[in-house]
Amino acid sequence: MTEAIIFWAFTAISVTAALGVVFNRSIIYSALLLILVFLSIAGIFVLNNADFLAIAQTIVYAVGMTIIVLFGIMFTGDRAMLDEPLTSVRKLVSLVLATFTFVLLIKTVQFPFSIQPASQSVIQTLMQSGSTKMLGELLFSQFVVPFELASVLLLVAMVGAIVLAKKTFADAGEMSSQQLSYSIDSGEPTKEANSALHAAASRGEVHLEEVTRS
Amino acid sequence: MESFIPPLLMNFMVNNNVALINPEILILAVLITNLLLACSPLKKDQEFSWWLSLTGTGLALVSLGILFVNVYFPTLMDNQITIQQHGVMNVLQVDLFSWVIRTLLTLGTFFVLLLTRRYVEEKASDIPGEFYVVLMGALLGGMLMASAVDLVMLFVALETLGISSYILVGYLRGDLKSAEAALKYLLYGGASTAVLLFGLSLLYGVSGGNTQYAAIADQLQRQLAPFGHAMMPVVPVMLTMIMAGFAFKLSAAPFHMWTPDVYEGAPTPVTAFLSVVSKIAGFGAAIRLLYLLLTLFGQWANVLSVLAVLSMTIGNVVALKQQNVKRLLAYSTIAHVGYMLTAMVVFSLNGISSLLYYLMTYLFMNLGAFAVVIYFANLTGREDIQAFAGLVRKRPGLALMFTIFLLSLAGIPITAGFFAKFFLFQSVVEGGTNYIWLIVLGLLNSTISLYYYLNIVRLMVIAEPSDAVAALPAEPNSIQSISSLGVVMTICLLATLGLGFFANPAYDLSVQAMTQMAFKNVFQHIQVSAVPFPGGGH
Amino acid sequence: MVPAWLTQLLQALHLSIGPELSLVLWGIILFTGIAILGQAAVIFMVLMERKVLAWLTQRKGPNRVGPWGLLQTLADGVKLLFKEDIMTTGQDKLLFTIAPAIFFLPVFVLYALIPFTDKLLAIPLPTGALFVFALSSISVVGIVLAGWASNNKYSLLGGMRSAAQAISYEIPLVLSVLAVVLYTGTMNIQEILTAQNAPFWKWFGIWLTPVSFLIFLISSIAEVNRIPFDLPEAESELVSGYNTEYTGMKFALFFLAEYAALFAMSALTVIFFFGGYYSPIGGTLCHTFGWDRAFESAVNLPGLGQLMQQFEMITWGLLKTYIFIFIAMWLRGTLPRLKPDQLMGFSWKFLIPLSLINIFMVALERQWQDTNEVVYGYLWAFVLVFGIGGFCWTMSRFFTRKLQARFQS
Repeated sequence: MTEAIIFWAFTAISVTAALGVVFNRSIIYSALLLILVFLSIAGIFVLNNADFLAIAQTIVYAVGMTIIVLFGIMFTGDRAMLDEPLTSVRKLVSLVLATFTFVLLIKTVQFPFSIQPASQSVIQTLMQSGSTKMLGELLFSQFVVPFELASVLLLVAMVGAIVLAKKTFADAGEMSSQQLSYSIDSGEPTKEANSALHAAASRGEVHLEEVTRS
Repeated sequence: MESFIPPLLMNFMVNNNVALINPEILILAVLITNLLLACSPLKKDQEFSWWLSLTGTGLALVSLGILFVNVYFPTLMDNQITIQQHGVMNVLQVDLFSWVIRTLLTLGTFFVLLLTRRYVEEKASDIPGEFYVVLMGALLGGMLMASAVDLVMLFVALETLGISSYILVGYLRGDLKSAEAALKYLLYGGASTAVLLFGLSLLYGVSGGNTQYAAIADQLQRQLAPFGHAMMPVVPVMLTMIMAGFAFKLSAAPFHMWTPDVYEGAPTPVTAFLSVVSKIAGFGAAIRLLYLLLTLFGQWANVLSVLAVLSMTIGNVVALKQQNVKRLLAYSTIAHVGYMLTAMVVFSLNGISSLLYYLMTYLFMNLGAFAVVIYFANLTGREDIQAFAGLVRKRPGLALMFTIFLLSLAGIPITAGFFAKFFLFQSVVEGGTNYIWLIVLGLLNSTISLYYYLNIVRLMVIAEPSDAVAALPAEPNSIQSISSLGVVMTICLLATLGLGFFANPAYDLSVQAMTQMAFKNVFQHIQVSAVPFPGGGH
Repeated sequence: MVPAWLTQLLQALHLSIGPELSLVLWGIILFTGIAILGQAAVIFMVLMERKVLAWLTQRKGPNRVGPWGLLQTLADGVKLLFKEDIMTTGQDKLLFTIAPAIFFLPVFVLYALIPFTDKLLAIPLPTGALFVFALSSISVVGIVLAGWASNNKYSLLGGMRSAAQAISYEIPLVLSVLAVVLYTGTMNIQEILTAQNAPFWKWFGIWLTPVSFLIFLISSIAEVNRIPFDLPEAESELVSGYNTEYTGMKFALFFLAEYAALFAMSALTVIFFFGGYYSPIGGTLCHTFGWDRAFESAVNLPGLGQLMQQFEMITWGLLKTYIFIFIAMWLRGTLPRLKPDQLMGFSWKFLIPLSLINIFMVALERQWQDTNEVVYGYLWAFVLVFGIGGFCWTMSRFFTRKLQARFQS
């Protein structure tokens, strides 16, 4: 009973927040609601005794990934999304496709998935010492090859990211502190600003005199 | 030495046939050594990492040869289909089929390395060492993909190949086209991976929480077939998603949109790598997984026929209008993927075997064509088709080789390309009258393709020299002109002709490989006694 | 887990809520108590910080309000309560308001995971050691939002720096604890502590991995944004960074949460590396020397000995925690602030490689102990010599190159 209540609460939060992610005009609110979605899904994981997964979800998705997203938004500016007329063909097509996919997915989950329930002893272990140990044992026995390959994958991805993002020695000298200070001091805030600093100012000129009292 | 390996580890390695993945371990060692070399202060000249990678890949080939002699040749010799376990750690099935695919991949990468030498030094000179690290990563992913019999393994290997490819495509950092290509590839690739993963997760759910192919087959057979669950919506959704995911990776139409842009923007050796190595790896993985699925859901092969026809037609028709050689080869790749998919539609033993043979020939003819394009681009700096005009007057040898590669790609007799198409269409004929229309369309498309392949030949032989060709110096001294590119072109030329002359042994090898794969993969666990291969055949 | 008196109380009140809910109830009761005490600790810490800093810089510190300035923090609190709550027009009202709460909340939930004695732990989790980092990482979101919602260049810069810093230093932080987790084979904080129930030279920070401890200490100071890693709120360059625009209670929330985080991080240092609530000879002094039994029989009050042990544990835990809090304050009084590139470079190029080598060595140590095979000892020595040696060599090269570059320019 308690579990059911908690489950439905998490579900309601995650679905509402997910809808908010899609429908919110401000992209930064969308990103924040995304955190809420991830956290509530982490809650559902906890309900299923997948505590390690829940924590990994929190660290990696709810914080790590969304912080990167927030970074991106703050550097490029939070502009309200462009208004597109509701009747545009693109939207209609998307609507039809989305509805179709939705119905299909609803039908899909009605399949009697017969994943065997864990044995009582496994559940007991899960409740007492968590799933971490089991996951670790599985990763280092049955899935050791994919696990090691995943480390190669991450290594290669990291090397690649560094290679692609690294400044060449030629243009390393160009980005000087002068440029940085210029972008801080550069005059009036503009609407088309694309640096983080401009983005902060672009949402309305700051007048410290007009303070609101709340 | 052995005392340094703890007995626990030693037992583990012996019990799990770890020796079978020696080539992969070698490649991994090369990768790590390269990385250490690239970051160590010892690095003085950039050639060393190239030599290291080349030697490593060569050693991997040798190791594959040793494996063949020791492990696979004996099973080839007794004509029985020996159901011999070649499993490594339950997630890899390193059988003859995967041996063929891995050899092709390693060979392809070896050639790509030969093509690369000048290119990386000239175009991305400040960070060359890492290029080989990423290339080795891609090869490693591809090789493991070909033997993966576990969903987790498949996905991780697929991503290793994928992510390495994105990096390789964007390697020319100053070049906007390269950056655009990398971004497009990343976005399309990411989306397609998500779709594939969704499909795989449904498969995981449907099969009652199994990740191993054998267990999945077992479970699906037991669960779905008797109760008619095959008609539930989950099956079409799952299969569509998995097929769409693979179609993206194989650049089959209508999921081909990224291909031309990526091929054009990427560094040319990388384009060669993508069009050959990652396609072969993709087919390797797709054959394994789809074999399992299509055995159970045979009627879904018809979806593949749509993909095949669309790929052939779109690839060939759009190729007619291309002005850039790399774009042309991109569309030609799409068309070839279309031909190869017809074999998957029929899904007989002969069909898949001919697909394997097609992959062998495709490796050599396509890499050869790319080698010529790179050689020409190094000489003149041009990549448009018009620049090839009159090449025969200045470089007759080069023009001759390009002609042969193009003829092989078009499927003209004596070349291996002809036999590949011949076997392929023959297997489709054997598949029954249902597929006659596929052959008709395939032949029609081959005819269309003749136009644009021969157009280049016409330009090279008949037309007046273009300004690029005219500006070429006279033929250099023959000894000096033997470069790494020359080696690739020569080997590819010999192989393109040789696989044509000796088509039968190669074809027999692929039949054997397929038989072993099929029996080990699926039929060991599914009791299908009367009709071992859906869609007829043997 | 649930103490007997609570069960009896619930029975007396005719409330049968089942074992699960009563566990939750007990957790809530404990957490509330600990959180309130935590506030008190913070109020004390603020005063302590001012006194310590004054002492380090040869000043007197607060000495006007109350005897020896003891009531200074209270007065400041009251002042903050009555301050005007200022909000400018360009600010995002909702985000501006909830940002301090997002920053504040996870830090206080952290208290629920810190064991003060072997019984006094609000939420015993099998994965507690990981969960504390998940929690502390959430509060970064609060800082970033505060920076964004303030609509102020400096605040935004502060928020950005904070996010970059938190992400960079979370890695060595978790990696250093990973060494301990690897050795003990559990992520349960209580079990990690039980493994350290031994004389002080067997605490993990002393004999197992002093390297881990140092990495943890450094990264935890970076995680709580204190000098020398206080770039997000550098007052002399960013006019206090993300909390520039905050006044009144909202500012007070930031202020409180920062000190609470410092307390939590110091407590975690003690738990992972310095035997938590155990005395320096292992166990508790009063139990080892039999004082609790003697006192119990003298006063003739059953359960008193148990209570004495609990109090001794709390005392040891708090004592050790305050030593580390003092170290953090000492550092603040001593060190100058880093530059952003130095900050990043230090984490990515120094701490992370070092902690990876460290993990490798701890794993070998563990394996050596388990299998008793001398191969692992050789390997350990090999890693020690070549790993650490190579690391030092690379570092020295790196830093000399930097120095050369500086002299050349």
